[in-house]
Amino acid sequence: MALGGFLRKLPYFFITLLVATTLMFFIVHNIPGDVTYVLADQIREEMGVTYEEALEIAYVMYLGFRPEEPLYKQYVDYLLNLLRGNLGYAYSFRMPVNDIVIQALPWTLLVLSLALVISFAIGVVLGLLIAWRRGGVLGPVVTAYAAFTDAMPDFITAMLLYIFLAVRLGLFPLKGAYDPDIVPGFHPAFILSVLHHAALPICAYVVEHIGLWALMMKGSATSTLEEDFVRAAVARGLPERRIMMSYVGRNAILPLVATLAIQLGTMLGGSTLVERVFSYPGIGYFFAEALMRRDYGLMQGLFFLIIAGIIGANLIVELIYPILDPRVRRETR
Amino acid sequence: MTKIEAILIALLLVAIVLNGCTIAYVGSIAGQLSDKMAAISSGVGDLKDTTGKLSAATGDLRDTTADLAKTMKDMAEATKDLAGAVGAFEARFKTIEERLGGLEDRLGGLEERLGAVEERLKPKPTPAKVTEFHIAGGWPLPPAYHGNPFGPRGVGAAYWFVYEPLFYYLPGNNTFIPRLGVSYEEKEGGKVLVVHLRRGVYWHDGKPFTSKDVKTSLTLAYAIWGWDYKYVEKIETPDDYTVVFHLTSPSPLYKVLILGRPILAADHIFGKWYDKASEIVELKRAGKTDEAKEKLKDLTKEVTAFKPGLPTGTGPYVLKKVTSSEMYLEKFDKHWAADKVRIDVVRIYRWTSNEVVWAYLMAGKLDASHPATPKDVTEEIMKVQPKTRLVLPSDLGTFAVAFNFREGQPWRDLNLRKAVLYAVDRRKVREVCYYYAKDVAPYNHGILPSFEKQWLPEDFLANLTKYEYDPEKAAKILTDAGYKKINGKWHTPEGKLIEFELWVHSGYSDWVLAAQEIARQLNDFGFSVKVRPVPGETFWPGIRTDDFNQLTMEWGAVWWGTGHPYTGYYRLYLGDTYKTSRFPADKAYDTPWGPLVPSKLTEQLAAETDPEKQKDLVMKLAYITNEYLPVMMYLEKRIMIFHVDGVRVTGWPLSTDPVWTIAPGGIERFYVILITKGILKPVE
Repeated sequence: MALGGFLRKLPYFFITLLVATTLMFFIVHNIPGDVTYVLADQIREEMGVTYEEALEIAYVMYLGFRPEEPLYKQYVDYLLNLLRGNLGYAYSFRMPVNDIVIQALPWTLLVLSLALVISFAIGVVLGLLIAWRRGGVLGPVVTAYAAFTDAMPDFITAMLLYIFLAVRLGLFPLKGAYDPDIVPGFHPAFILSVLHHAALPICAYVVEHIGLWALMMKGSATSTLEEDFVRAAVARGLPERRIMMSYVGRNAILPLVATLAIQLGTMLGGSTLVERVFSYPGIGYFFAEALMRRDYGLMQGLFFLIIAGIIGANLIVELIYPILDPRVRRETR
Repeated sequence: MTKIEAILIALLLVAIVLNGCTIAYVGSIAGQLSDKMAAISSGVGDLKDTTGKLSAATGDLRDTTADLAKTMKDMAEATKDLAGAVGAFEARFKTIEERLGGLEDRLGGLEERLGAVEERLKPKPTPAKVTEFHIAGGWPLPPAYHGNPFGPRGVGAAYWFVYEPLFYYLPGNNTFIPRLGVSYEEKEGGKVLVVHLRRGVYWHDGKPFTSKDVKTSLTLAYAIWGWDYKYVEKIETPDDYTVVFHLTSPSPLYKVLILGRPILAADHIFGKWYDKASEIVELKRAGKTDEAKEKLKDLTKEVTAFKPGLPTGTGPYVLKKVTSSEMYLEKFDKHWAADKVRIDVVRIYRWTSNEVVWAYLMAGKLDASHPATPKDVTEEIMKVQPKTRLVLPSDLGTFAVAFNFREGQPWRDLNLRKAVLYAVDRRKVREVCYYYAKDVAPYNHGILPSFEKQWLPEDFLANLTKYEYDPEKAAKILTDAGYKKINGKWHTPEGKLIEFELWVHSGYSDWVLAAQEIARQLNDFGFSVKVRPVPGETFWPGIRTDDFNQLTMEWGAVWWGTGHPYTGYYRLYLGDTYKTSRFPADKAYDTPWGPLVPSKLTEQLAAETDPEKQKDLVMKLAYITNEYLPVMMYLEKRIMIFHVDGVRVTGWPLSTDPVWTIAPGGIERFYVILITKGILKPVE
């Protein structure tokens, strides 16, 4: 039944994807500035030539690399390429976007998926506890913490952690995804090095997001606690732990699943600023470069990745939601 | 007697005769036989004797054979016993051998272990420690890294460690430091530049470096990047170690530019594109730009498609590894100065932002770096890492506010410009936006303050107008010129409110801070100023058109590339800043030397080779710049070079050493000079 619902949603998925991709394409192409001007600015500084000379050099550097066809034709080519699995061409790097994604995305997925799972797990448990023990000390503390971390940009959190844990205490490496002196491969030294290097970026992300999950879970659990089936369970004298986990927790977590799916989707865009602080080689670096250099090709490819990620994650939620929530299953039926 | 009887008798007689004959014959035969028999008999007797003797001998032999057989049997038994004994012995010998072998092995093992223990216990000299030097820099991250200097974004921060120029030029003392070139001669009044190359130079792949490499490399750069082709008519290579540059006209500046260019392209690697590059340069020189562009399109595509992975140069370090966080370079043992290079490894940490570089410095991970740093962070770095020092050589440029001189703009009035110079506290602006910069105030003459003594005599400076912060003087100038202050705001003599936007490149944080401070001060003075941050890609094209409204942040006097005032005045009166301000540079201005045209003076300066005449021209240009104010310069940018002495490396020169002045436009050149001269060395 769930599969049937899923299949019915598939056309909507593709339509949404097409509309979002189209909008993205035209918005990106209307961002002011051009890759040539950005490069000229850089050449002018590096080579000490006049701006006009720099512009001429930059123009030549991109001759034959930038598409010069009308926008509508570029759009059609872009869609056709997407159908072939080709995300486009990064002009500023002179290489296919696919090559960049293949190498950079795994690092981002490693850090952000672990961070998301950890922050979600801790946040959900905290939120449940706060809701269950209303009036306790934990509630205000977590709320204040969430307000603080929500207000603070992830870049600052990352920087603070970096200064204290890596620079001052020397507990974590300062940069990169692994020790450059270790030969990459499937062996314990490399794996440990990867985990050691990923620990602080993960930590930065977890610190930033725990509060958010906790508050969301608290809100959801609080309303679940008012439900009749919970009161009935209490009246039946069921153990507190069972009520909290099986009755409240299981029901309260459902609304969070959709948010988690969206978060999983946006994860594909990387966390540019956090990656910048830790010199982490994820997709965030290329995202920042694409925006800074007005590299439309790279921008389009990476934005498409995020769009497809979010829409795809929502589709998966459609698939698993009836499994998690029998009420939805009945409604679907 | 019958006939038959007769015949019978005859026959009988014949028979008798025949018998007689036969008997006689037989007798004779028998006699002979008898003789022979006798002889035989005698022989047989002899034989018998012999046989007897033989028999006796045989008997003896039999006995002997029996004895022998017995002996043989005994011997066989003995041999058998011996064989058994030998077998047993062999087996035991083998066992002994094996056991001995085992013992030998064990002994060998023991010896090895003993040796290792001895080795460990022995107070041996410190093993050859790998000495390292750590800095920070940028590069395109893998998988985008390609190792081709002509590729997008080049080879990153490894550039000056991997490649070398013919000479390094030090603006601080106007000298050339030989690198791939050992000497040069100027001929035909400076129109021909002959460079003699160093012998015994190798590319990192082991191939020898020759004049052909210089020609190929520069021709490719002339074609692709437009370097120097406008004033280099021809390059000749009469032999492997001589390069001759034919210039369009003599100029001290061209020499600085040509000799300072790095040699990036080995002929054995890039030579296949030489002919195409040469053709494009010729087309450019002939003014056939469209044709040149078309051919350049193909050449650029071909050259940039070449992705060797890692660069090949002649420099003192070989790039071995590029990751997302680090570049790793090892000493090039065949480098011509390898005997002086005592640092084995250079590690370049990735420069993602100034904040991250500050953290590296605080953590003691870097031996040198040059992030622009606020005062408090600088003090924190020095406190946390007490072996850190700071030197501030000029970055060869001034920050400025450019006035808009286009038709109808109020800034064409010198009084208004002068009022701004007096109304803005430029020292305060410097403190706010770039604490460690050098003040330009009280002058505005266009000579970098760091080089002021070199170019402008004190008596000349004494006669220039000094623009010290003085809002009252500013107000008096405006009032005298007919401007009016109504409700605290200045109005033009025509009664129009003086309001304008101050454009600023949004990506330059120090410019933004300066713009905000200048706007605040001008608003306090009575102007109506709004700061407008503009993204870089629209800022530069924007300020070169009529779009921008009256004032913009700009570069003032900039001496990049040459370290010479000509470059600064070129920018103000002919180059980029002129294109922003449109200051009437081809108009004559009154000076103590009579009316002078700044654009003409600038062109004369470019061609003047006599140092004294150069100074004279510089003074005239300085006067016009200071008195007629094409821009308001407010600080000289200085590079903040943090360097740590005594942790990994030592031997940094004194801050007064002119070698620091090579830092702008490629600070790694400074490190390379120190390392290859053996000045910067590992801590013992």
